[in-house]
Amino acid sequence: MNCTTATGFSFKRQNPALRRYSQRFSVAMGAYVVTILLAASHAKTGHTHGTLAYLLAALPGLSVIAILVAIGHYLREEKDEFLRAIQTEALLWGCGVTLAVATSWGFLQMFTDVPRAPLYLIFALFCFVWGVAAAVIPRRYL
Amino acid sequence: MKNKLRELRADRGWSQADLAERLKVSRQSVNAIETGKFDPSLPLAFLLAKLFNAPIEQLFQFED
Repeated sequence: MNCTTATGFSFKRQNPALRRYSQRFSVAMGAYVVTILLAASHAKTGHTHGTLAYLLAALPGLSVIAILVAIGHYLREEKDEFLRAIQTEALLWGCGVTLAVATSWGFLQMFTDVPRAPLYLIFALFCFVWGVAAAVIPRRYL
Repeated sequence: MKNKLRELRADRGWSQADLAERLKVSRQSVNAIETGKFDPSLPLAFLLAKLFNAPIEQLFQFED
């Protein structure tokens, strides 16, 4: 049976590294969403101090670490060097653009009156740029 | 890097998907290597040479 990968490539059988990555990524992303909802609902009750509040607020960050670990495992386990090269370049685009935007906005915040950007958006920006790059880079090889 | 993969593959009547399955890579990897847009690693080049029963320098030619 044919299936399409995250990079838009099809295999007759799903690449085992990609299958494991999809499972790990889904679990970690699910945990990310659930922990954000938990932390947000706890904060809404007005409890923003204390051990429980700090613990709940730290959980989404731990989920992000789990997502990054899943990505790292994928890069290490992917046997198809072409797919690995595309994903590596896409991740570098994600890291590079995110670092550039975050640092530049930081200086703008420091020296001007631009609005303060919420730091939690950094990971979303990284994922967005990585996703766009992973979709665009394979077109180079068509 | 120029290569003769397309001719060698055609000689055997293999599609890109057939070769990809033998190499355990994606069809797009085979296409990218054949069109010279992606240079394979040494292990993959040796695997290709073994598969086509030909020396590596017959499969790939270095371009200055």
